Amino acid sequence: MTTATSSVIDLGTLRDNPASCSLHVVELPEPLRFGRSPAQDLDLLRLLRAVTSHAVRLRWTLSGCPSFPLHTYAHLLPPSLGLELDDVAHTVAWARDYRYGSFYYRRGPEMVAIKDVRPGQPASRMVIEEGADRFERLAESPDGRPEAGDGELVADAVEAGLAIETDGRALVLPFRMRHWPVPYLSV
Amino acid sequence: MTICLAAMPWPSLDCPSLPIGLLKAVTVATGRPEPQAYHGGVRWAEHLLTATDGELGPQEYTEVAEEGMFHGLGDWVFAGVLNDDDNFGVEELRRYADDHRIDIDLVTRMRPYARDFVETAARDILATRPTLVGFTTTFMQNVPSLATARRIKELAPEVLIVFGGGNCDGAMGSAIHKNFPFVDYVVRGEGEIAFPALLDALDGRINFAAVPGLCWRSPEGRHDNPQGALIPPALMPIPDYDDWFLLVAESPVGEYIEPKLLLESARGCWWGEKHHCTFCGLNGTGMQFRAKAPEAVIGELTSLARRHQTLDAIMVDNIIDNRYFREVLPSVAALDWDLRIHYEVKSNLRPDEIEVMRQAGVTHVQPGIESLVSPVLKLMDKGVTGVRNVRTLRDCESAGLTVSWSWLYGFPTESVADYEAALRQLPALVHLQPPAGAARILLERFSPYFENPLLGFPNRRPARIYEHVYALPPERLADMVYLFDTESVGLSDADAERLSKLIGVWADGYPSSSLRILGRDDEEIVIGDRRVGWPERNHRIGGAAFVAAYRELEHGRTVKALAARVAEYGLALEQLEDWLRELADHGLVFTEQGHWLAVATTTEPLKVS
Repeated sequence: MTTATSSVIDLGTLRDNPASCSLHVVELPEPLRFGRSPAQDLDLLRLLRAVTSHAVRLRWTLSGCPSFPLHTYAHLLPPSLGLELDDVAHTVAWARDYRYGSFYYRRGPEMVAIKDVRPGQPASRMVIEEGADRFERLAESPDGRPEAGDGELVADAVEAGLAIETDGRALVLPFRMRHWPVPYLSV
Repeated sequence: MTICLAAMPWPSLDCPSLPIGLLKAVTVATGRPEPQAYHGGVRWAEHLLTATDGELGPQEYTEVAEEGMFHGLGDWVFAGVLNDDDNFGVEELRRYADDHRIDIDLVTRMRPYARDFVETAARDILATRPTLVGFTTTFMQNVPSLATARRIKELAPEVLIVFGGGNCDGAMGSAIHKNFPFVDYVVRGEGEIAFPALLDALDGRINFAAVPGLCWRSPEGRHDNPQGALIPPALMPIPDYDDWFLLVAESPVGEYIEPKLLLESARGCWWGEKHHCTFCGLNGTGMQFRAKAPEAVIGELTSLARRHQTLDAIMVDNIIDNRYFREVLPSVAALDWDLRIHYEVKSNLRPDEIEVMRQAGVTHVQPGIESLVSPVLKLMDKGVTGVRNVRTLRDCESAGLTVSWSWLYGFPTESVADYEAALRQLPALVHLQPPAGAARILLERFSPYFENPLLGFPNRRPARIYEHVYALPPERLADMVYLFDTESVGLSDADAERLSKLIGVWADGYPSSSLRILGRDDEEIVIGDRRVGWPERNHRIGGAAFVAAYRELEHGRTVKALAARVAEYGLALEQLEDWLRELADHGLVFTEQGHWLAVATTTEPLKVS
């Protein structure tokens, strides 16, 4: 078999090329360990944002708790399992609030359109015109380090609830919509 | 001359009016002032929201707009106003609803608000101080348009009333003009040349007799000019949607909708020019296929997306131009915008065409599948087989495209026996997108079944739905309406009930079902079966010969053709037949009329309910 039916994938491979796993079921053998530091949590959430954007059907196990409020990441693919009892409880809470496509952005002509229909807050749609290119670069940045002169952009995004920040690095929260679901207007 | 163009309920709330957008553009292009626009759909939804304190609003509007047409429900809401009798059609609809087992609670709750709305609409339109009000009418827009036009004429007899649009095509336009004297002019056929010509005639520059397709009156009586030639694509303007986008940005309705662009890259139907689908009347008198140049389509899409910051586009074409797979969609994909586009397509799509659509952001297709039964598809003159349609469903599923289709029945000479093979296999297709439902075909004006009674529907009368809509005798309705009642043929209602039940089970099972190839190489194919109603298991197809045979089945083959294509492996015909039967037992293939098709998908789309 050239394509293994076993779906185990290592973290590095997934991080390097999540697009290669689009729509496929894959499984991380080791838990994702949250709660060690906000910076590490930010990186793991960045990975989950990429996984969600590329529609990877990732099965992963949660260990610990992210250092950020649940509503900032509940739109990202939740864990399938929790390692400890507290992790299980958090897995259940995360999965309860998760719905694919509840917080995403779309790239358009000199603009970025954002839709936020996460539970527990008013639905909103917004369009970023000025600085759309810089917003996109920040969103797709592999490490979330803002470019020179992007301090105000990051501050504005954080204030608007579009990003979280720690240790000089940012994570734009909405993921880029790369895979429309069926039915296509359900998100 | 001051012009106001009106689109009354029930167009989709999340799209601007294409006819208004086009007529605004052509009017301005002739050097006249920009017409005002009255978007009656949005205004009616606003009116309902306000008048009912939110009990009725955009959601209920949309329900009527999407479900009401074939029962005349949207027209009925305004029929009391048009006929100046609040009780008009009430008993008739009640009896109709009982006979057809439909729920009329929603429209019954809406109807009391129609009179006030028409009054407000008429006064709002008159507030623009028009000398001419143009109503564009398609499907259920006739009665709300006529009711509003009548009131405008009462309030301001000097204002000219013009009707146009799909409901005015051919004889229907003449009949509207004949039946409703307050309609001064009807433009039949496409408006890009005829509408400015009418304005020229009103200005005294040309004679009314020179306006293509115009219905008009003179002291000598009523006149129906012959419809003009269909316009070439180069004369189809870019629609002007500015005022609609401004309106929804400020309207309370805006909170309920996501605005979408309504675009037109072609008119007519290239398939219908060669093989007119026997039940279809949608193209009216405009069957000739006319597609815009690829660069024009790309320019229109990009400029309007830019102008209105809108990445959702509904292409209204009845069928995509095959050139666009090569000359439009790759360029759209190269933009790297996250578009969401709807297109109607022919159902015999190739995987490379599906892939280029996916890359370009075509996320929703309507492939005109209509049935999975080959003898019935032949009666429709669709030019495809049931196996070919299942293949398209499979490949669209693999690509994650949303597919909209309905199952039609009730064709002359079809029999239950025709359906047996397909119906028996429907449970195996539960992982593919189901039809929205099953419906008996209606006799539509302009369709071959309407135009040629010898094809199986010799007797016809205006559909019963018009009894609760118009206070007109059948002989005055006959030329005005689009739908006709006729004897039921083909499947009986009891037979159709079985089809509907199977489709219901299919729809229920689809969200939780998948049948997906998990892995494949030259020696083995593994198919994960997670279909509702089937044992959860992984099927393994082993050995180079059968792997090669399975690959052939992905194209749909007869046993004979399959044997020939894998002849190098030395499989006997009987071996292949046994193997195919085994695959069929496991629901891994769909077979009809000697063709066999593998039905597992390569990926499973994300499904969000």
